[in-house]
Amino acid sequence: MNRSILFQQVKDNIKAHLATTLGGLLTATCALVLLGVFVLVYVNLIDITNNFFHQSHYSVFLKPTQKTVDREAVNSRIREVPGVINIQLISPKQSKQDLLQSFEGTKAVLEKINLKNLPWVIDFSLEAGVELSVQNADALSRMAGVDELFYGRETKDQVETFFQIANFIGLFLVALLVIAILYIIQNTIMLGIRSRAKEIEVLNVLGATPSFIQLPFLIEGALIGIFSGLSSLGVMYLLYRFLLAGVTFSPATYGLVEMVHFFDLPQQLLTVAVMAVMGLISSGLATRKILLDLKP
Amino acid sequence: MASLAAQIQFQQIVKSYQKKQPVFHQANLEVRSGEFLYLTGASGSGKTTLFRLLMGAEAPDSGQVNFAGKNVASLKLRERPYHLRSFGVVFQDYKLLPHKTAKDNISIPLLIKGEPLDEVSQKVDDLAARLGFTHLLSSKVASLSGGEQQLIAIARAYVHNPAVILADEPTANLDNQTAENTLDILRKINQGGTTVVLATHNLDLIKRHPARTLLIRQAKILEVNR
Repeated sequence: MNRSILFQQVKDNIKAHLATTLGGLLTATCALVLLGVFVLVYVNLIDITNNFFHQSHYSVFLKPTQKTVDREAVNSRIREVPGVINIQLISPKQSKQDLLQSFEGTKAVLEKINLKNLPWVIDFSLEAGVELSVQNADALSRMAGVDELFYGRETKDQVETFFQIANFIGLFLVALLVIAILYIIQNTIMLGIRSRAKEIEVLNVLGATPSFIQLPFLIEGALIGIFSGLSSLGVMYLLYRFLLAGVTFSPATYGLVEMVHFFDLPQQLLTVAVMAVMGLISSGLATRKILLDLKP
Repeated sequence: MASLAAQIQFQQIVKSYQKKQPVFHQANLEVRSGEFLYLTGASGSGKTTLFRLLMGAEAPDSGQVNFAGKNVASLKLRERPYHLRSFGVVFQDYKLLPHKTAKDNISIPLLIKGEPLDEVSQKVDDLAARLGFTHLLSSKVASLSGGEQQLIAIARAYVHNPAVILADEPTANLDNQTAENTLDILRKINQGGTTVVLATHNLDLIKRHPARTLLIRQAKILEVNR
């Protein structure tokens, strides 16, 4: 088909049912924004969590009754742990100073609390990807003078469980919204076909091939997909900037700015391309039935 | 198209819809290329069914419909649009696209064939000049009279030079003078070598312009005069 005729047909299709097309575009955009926000939050959460657990930090709290020899033994044992880095022995005096420094605003309150019985602590980290084995953790916990080994395993397990559930819900949500988007575009095209039923009938009688009849609707579907992809990215970016402005306003959450990110350019292009394909599939499904029913 | 030898052949056609009386029973017909013929019969006698059988929109229960030596029923789905392009169809209700101009409507068959835009425009202009309606080309179809719309419908049926023009009651909604004009145009087209099959109830028209006439009666296709 001649390209200018094809685009004229597409223009005529859209003009013939402009309100329906815009309605479809808007609904598909809303569904896509929901999907996009979920994906964006999820991806950022994964990044933040990975960042948080990038290095594993451990703290060995020693009993008040421990002796220097115990401290040195524990220190030596820690040095034997594979992948160990940054071993730091923190005295009760140092602990107090750190605490007061961390909570500068509440210094007066802290001064009144009895901070004399703070324990000796040995902090250490493991290289990225290395975890403290259960055997080593047990061995350290059972050593003389050791009160408690704190290594945040529970937190990590909880986070992993959270992501397992989120994966499941996410997959369900993605499938649901993808079907919704396909359905929305399909219905928009169906309404367009109905409003041009007479014209399709005439084209068919005059010897138009199925592709001649179908192509303008396929392009319309792809255009709805592309435009809803672009508009949803626009809406999501505005939401992202708006939330970021709120985050940067609060000193407590300011650090998040460095961690959260929007979709990068290849991801944005992929979104638009996927939406174009979804538009094509939807309009293909919508036009298939009518083409099968056509008789001169 | 005059260059395409139009040969219509109905051989022992049987066609019925559900449990009703058969529309055709052992019906035969032969039309040679370049003929002009009237097709007449009572309402519901099967004139439109004959057209539909020929175009491949319906299949006969038994018998064979041949067009240009080819069994229409044996056409593959992908061949059907090309088969349909051998015909120009004029409908009683015109079946024009009212929101488009007369020129846009007439251009459709050529665009379907994939002809270049400038050639399409030239061909439509030439045809309009030949049939004398150049002044209507830029008008929206909805704003035209019944006679003018019929003229546009005939032009659309003829612009791609089909082998056969099938006119289904083209004069039914027209006054006598416009009906005469419509017939004149169809005659002119026929003189160029295109086969014209004109379904009509208008026996006066047939009397005034005699030609081979087929009558569909009691599920048969009968020759009235030859």
